[in-house]
Amino acid sequence: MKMKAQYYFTAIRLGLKSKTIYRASAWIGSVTGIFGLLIQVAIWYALLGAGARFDTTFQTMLTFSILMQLSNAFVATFSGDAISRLIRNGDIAIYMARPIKLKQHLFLGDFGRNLFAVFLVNLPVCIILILFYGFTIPPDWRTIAISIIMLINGMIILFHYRYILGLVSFWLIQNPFTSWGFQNVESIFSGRVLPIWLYPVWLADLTQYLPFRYFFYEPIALFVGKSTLGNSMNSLLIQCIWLVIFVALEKIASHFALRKLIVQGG
Amino acid sequence: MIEVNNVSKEFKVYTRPSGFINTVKSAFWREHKIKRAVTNICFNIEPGELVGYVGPNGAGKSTTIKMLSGILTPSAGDIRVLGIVPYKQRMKNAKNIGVVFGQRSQLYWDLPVRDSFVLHEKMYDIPKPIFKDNVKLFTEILQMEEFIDQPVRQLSLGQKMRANLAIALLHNPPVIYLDEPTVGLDIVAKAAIREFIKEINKMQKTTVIITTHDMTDIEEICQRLILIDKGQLYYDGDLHFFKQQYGGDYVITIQVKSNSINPQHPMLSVVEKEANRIVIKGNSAELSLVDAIDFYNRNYEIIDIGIKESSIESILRDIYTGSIQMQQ
Ligand SMILES: Nc1ncnc2c1ncn2[C@@H]1O[C@H](COP(=O)(O)OP(=O)(O)O)[C@@H](O)[C@H]1O
Ligand SMILES: [Mg+2]
Repeated sequence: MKMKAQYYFTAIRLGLKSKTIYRASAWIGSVTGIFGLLIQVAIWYALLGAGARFDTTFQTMLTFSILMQLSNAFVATFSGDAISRLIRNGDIAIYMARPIKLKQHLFLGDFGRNLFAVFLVNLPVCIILILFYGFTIPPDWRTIAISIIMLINGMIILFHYRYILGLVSFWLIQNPFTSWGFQNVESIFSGRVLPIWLYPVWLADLTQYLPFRYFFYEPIALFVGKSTLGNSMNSLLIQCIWLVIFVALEKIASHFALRKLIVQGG
Repeated sequence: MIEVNNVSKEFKVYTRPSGFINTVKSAFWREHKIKRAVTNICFNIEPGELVGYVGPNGAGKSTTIKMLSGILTPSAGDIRVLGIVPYKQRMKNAKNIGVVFGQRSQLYWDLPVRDSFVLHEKMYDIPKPIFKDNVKLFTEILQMEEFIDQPVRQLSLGQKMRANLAIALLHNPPVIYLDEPTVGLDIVAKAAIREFIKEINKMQKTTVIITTHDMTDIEEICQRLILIDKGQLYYDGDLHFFKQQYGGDYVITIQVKSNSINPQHPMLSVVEKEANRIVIKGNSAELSLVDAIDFYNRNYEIIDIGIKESSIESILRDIYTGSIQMQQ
């Protein structure tokens, strides 16, 4: 157990360290990432100002946007691309000859790489925003705990979702996430930019049948008081169902991907 | 220690569909051919053996290594490495083995070599003192001091290969598989790698299977040779015996003092002849090299002599091209 923890820690640390090697490009990448947040905040400020509209205050939206930004920053890189590349060029053989689980290993490395943007760019900017404009904190610890559990759950689901798209790209030659506009689909149905409570009813209803809102929208809506604890238990259950579905899909896709072009050449 | 019994591996090779109808059809059913990479291979390897696994490109060497590592599942037959079936217990097997693929690197590209070593330490749960000792020892034998703290992307091919070899052995695996570890390296790097493999084998009784196209690797490292071609086993046995049985050809160039050299030995054939210089060819199965030289030495006063024995390289070339028939 202790040794496993040390391995996890080292894999994450080296992921982070490899990001700091190209400091300039890492900074530029993360800084452009934070512009989206600043623009959003500016728009909400212009729309809502000091008052409340649509049952929404500026502080709610600020909290929402900050949490959305941070959550996404944790899972910003895509192991999916790595996995299909490894299968394609056969380097997967190296990983399979080691006593590690490939998916886990890639996740740890990615997580480490993402920590760079989280701690060095996103968090400082968010803290400054909070110092200036405040932050909504839920009144009871149960809400906080459930939101955090759901956020972590959401990260795991999102990771699997992208991992599967990466595996699929192994057949399609392209990654649907980056080249087929899946990214836009995701941002519409996930409530990432505009919270779903502001959506027209038909669209909000539609999102319930898709996995995307269960990534981060549900936990954050609970956090900012736009969902009740009772509702969220329901969402947590649906989240768990999606988690099971995605893990199963990933297992199937991995199985076939590995079987098909397993470890070419060399 | 390593048991391979009647192992075969087949790959399905899908044909690329052409035309619209076929592309649609291929979504449901694709035509494929069966490619046999390895056919009915058997061998047993004992602890501490140094085995050269040799064959031309596409012979099935890498496929065998991948099956031994648990990366590929055999289509038929069984494999056991230290009692473990590799593909069934991939992770457990992985702890017992070290693998180097000559064309692939297992080092963090952006980070210093040392960082990859540390990750390896945690991955394999290597006890600290062993890890420290091994890093020190390997750094010394493989002469890695100058680059161990340099990012991998700045290293030469030879330096990267040395680091890859070291990392594969950090956890003191009882078995190592080296798949073309010397491919593309210069003489110095090759020498360092050979020295290292021999040293580790001597110190820790590590079992080594090495594939290579450089027969000097085989001659310097291995005692045993396994030869495969087109997925089939052609020879498995002692390297010296192999040389004697299939090689044994020699060519001697002799220069003598007298002006007329007149060879009459029935077992030797003349390749070239001048007044005082002769090139003859023989085979040690018929007449040993020593006896051949002795024959001339008794009859003439030799002033210069050159000897060329057939190398494994030349024997293999003859086998691959079919001019030597293997006896099964
Ligand atoms: N994943 C694969 N799919 C189809 N054929 C393969 C695959 N891997 C290897 N082969 C074929 O199997 C044969 C043996 O390959 P390999 O073991 O790599 O040879 P070697 O390492 O001896 O050069 C070759 O003909 C190769 O084309
Ligand atoms: Mg090969």
